[in-house]
Amino acid sequence: MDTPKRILLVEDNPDDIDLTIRGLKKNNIVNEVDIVQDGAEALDYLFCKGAYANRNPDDMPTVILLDLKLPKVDGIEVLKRIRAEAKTMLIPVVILTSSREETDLIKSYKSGANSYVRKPVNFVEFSEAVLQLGLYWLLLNEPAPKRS
Amino acid sequence: MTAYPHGLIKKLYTEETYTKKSRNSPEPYHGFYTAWPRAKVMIDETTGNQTNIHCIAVFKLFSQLASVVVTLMGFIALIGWTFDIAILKSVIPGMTAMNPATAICFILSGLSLLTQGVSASSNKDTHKWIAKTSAILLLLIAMTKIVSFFGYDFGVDQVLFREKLKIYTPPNRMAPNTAVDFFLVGISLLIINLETRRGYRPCEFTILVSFVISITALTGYTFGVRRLYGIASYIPMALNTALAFNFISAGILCLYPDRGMMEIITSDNAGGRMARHLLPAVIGITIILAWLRLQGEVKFHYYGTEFGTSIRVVLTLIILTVVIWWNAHSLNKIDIKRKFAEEATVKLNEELKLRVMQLGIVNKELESFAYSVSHDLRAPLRSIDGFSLALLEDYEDKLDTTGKDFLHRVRQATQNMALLIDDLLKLSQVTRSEMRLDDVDMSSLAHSIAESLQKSAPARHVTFLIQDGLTLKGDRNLLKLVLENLLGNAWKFTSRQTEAQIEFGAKVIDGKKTYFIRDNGVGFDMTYVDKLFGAFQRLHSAKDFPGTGIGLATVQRIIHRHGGRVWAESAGNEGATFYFTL
Repeated sequence: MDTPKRILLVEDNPDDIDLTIRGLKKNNIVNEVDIVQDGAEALDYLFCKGAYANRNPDDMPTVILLDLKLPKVDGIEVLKRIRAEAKTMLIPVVILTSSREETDLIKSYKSGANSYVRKPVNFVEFSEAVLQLGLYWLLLNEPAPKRS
Repeated sequence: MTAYPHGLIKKLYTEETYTKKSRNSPEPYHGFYTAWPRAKVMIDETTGNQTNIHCIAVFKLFSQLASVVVTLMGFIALIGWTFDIAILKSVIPGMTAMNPATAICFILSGLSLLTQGVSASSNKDTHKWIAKTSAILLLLIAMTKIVSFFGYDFGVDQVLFREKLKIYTPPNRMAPNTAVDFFLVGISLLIINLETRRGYRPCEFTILVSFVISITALTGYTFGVRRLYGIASYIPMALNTALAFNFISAGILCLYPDRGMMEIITSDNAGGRMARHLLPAVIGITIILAWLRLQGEVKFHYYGTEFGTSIRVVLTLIILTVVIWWNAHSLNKIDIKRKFAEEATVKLNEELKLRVMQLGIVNKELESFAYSVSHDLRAPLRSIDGFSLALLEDYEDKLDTTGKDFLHRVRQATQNMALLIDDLLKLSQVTRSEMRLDDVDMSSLAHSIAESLQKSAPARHVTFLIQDGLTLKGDRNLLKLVLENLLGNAWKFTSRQTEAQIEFGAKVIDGKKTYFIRDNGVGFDMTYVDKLFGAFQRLHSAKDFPGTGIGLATVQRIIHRHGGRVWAESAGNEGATFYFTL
């Protein structure tokens, strides 16, 4: 393990950011969490552009937690761009959203989401969901080998 | 035959229409022994043709009257022969008399046509048999007579009143044109039901030839031209014979006025109207004017040939112009009516398109609204719940019991609201989602729902009575939601019963298969039965039986979307029964 496993959280609601981080901390998941607050910023981060021009392009997150309803570029568009680029196409993407609309589910899976989790209102349940996600994607799941 | 968008035209003319689904559909009118048709227009769905039923009825009535008249004419001639009454034999004494065999032939053809018309409605084999046999007999007599002109005389027209026939010079016999005419009538009567796939009726062609022969004879009598009713030195066709032929030919043509060539004339479309206006005028004017001219010129010598012809031309011009003008006038009226209707339809169509578009927009808005509810309304709830819990956990020491209780209540309320949002979404999804119709095994669905209910509270003792083999045509997911809600309700409201029983089955109520779910729970007050299916309406307190009050509203929407009905009954504390039909 050369680089520590990091999570990219794409979320515009500051409350949800805090609650997600709180959930991770409570469950003793101490991996670094990078936060971007809209779709455009997420793309800048992943493709090392704009404010993230100086980021190391080889240092990619182990898993991306992606909200669907985002300012500027929406979640589905971000997902499509991630899947379109060779550099990012193999990164697991988990849709983490409030919506359970059928169309959202279908669009997400069609665009290449690896998982779809609906954020529960009850924080206890929410925290449990975050724990499961962390355990699965950071420990149990074997990511694709990194290209050098 | 073009197919018209007749559904539209039908409305324009009249509300009362009769639709003929196929060639074998019953006719709207059969003849004088049935009631006059009520509907005005008949629409033939196979051809798209519109026929005027009253016109058809008149034609049919004429056909039957003609058959009776022809039969009577035959009998009258026979009576004339029996009692030697010249006027009965030949109309005008001294002129050629109708041969007795000819009279018999007319009786046969009249009988055949009459029974043919009757058999169309009675469908009795005896009627058909009489019609066929008479036609065959007629044909045989005619053929025997025709053969006699080629030297094989069997004297078929000399069997009856043999002695009385000889009084005449030359002796009375059947004329050759009469024999040929009978041959054609016989053939026509035999093949009267024959119709080609394209809707042509061969009998119409044969009978038209016979018509032409008899009309020629009649014209000959009218204008006194012997050559037209008598061939060579043979005995001529009698006047009453020529008349009877005209009747029988017209009668055969008019038996099925809504088929073959006659369809054009009886049509309720513009062409039919024109034909009905012009044909009688043209025929009538030609004959009457010619006759009048000859009367004045030849018989009474009022004027010469040039004058007579000129007057005839002038009168023909005037009368035909008037008839054509009148016809054009009525056709124009129809055309204008149709144009107005077309315009109205186009307008209506545009309005409809606009409505559909508006509806589409509203639907889209509704969808995005539901999406917002699903997404945006839940996010703040999560914050409220999450941070309330954070307060409880991180600032436990700074809060007293009342403070903690308040926070618990805040969390409880947010969770209730989350449930409410979820149920609301489900309710809206019920109306928005696309329906996929399938055969749904309701019994096995009920079994699996009962099983999961039992698992959710293993301690409860509930007997489920589920009728087997109940299947319904509907959307599987939606019908499952119906059963989940109804069985879930039954489960919930029997929670205080020690021996709870929930039944799902079907029975026939008012001739319709009705499904029911019956429980022996707390039931409800029938005074409030109207409120039962309204959204957010609850007849029990949340403390006694928790719930959002959306379940039954969802059930009703699903049943309505399937075109069914749902209702409930309860006798106070003795449980409730929910019924639904699809």
